[in-house]
Amino acid sequence: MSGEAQDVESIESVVALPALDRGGDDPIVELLAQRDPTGIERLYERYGGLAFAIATRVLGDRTAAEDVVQEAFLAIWRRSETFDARRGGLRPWVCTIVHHRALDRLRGSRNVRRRDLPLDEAAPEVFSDDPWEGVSDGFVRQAVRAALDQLPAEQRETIELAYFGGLSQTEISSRMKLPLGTVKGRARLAMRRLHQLLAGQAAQEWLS
Amino acid sequence: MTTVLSCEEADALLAIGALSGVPPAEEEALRRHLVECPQCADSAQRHARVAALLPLQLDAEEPPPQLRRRLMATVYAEAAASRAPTPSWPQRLWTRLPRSRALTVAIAAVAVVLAGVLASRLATPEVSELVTTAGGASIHLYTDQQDHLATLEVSGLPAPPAGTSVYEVWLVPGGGAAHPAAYLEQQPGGGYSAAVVGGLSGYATLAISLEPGRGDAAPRGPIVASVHLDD
Repeated sequence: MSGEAQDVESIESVVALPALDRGGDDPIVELLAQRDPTGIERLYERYGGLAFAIATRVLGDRTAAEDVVQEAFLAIWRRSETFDARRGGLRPWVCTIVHHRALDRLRGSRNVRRRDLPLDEAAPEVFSDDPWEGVSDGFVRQAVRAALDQLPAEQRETIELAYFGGLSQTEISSRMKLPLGTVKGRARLAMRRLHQLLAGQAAQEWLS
Repeated sequence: MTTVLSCEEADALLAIGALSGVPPAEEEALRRHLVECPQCADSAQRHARVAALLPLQLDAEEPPPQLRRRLMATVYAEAAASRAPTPSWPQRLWTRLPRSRALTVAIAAVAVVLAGVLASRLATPEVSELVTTAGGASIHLYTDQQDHLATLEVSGLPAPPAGTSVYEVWLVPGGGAAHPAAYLEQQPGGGYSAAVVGGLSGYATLAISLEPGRGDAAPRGPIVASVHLDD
């Protein structure tokens, strides 16, 4: 569609071509499959900083974030043999587990029943394939930020409140003083637009 | 009665669900819709992919060094426990001896110095083992010289009081200040374990304290057990 083509073009105009590092996760996956502790050590070296950033952003508290990151990596260690590279990338797996546990902690502090899935029940699509696996972190960061910048402010705020604030659609509706249907519509439009920008043709071409 | 969702409604739920979870009241209706609607099942995947990219906008933040130490201590402890050597007959005998309830109960309250070394270093060329009791707790200390790793297994400690309290392991050089080494982590089958990465070389005492929280550079809580380390 032309709309998609324009979106891809706009991203390409904002960011430079990525540097590739395809093999970084493979040795870690092998070590984890063998239940080798150095696999977790290397996983932590590679993604510990990102995990800590996610937990700190969600919780706004570095001490609580430390606990969440430790819990998440221990959960990964204890279930490391269940990771299946065919189902998705290591990075989205780690990010999703840390994010879920951070939201869980946040909701626990608000005395709200958990809505996210525990690690062993998470649906395969949650650990979705990472179309930008191997692309340099700096490039991906810049591209995701550029895509978010292209969203209308109210859509960006909805994404922010839901993903990093852990708010449900009802809670966002209440916080933004908007009808529930408007919140649902904004979330849907924002996610579709981001998909067009981030998971479309461009990433596949760069990695092919 | 379960609500029947249109594709538009399902897509909106999937979008917000990928970000912060599907509201429990809507889960069943969404599940039913996805079973019958391959387009919306694809949409679920798309939304999940986008959500997985969102955290990548963040700059990585350097975690505090103690987080890595704490994490790896537990990981190495669990790995070592899963390959720990079979106990020799003196240890098997010790584990079958009846425990004193009074000693077990008293342990959290007071500092207790090592009661006595019961068995000596053992066995394999790589792994030596020290079995001791301190304040009613039974402590197995495995030292892996090759990996520069010590693993601690402790039973008989009462659960820390609710809240942030935690048992912390300290290493004390002869005449020096205590260094934080690891936290005791509760094991699913009972008891506690910890690993001290770097081993015990150069330290005279290993102590366990009950701390009010994590992250202090020196013990603040009572020492509940301590072990004199041989060279």
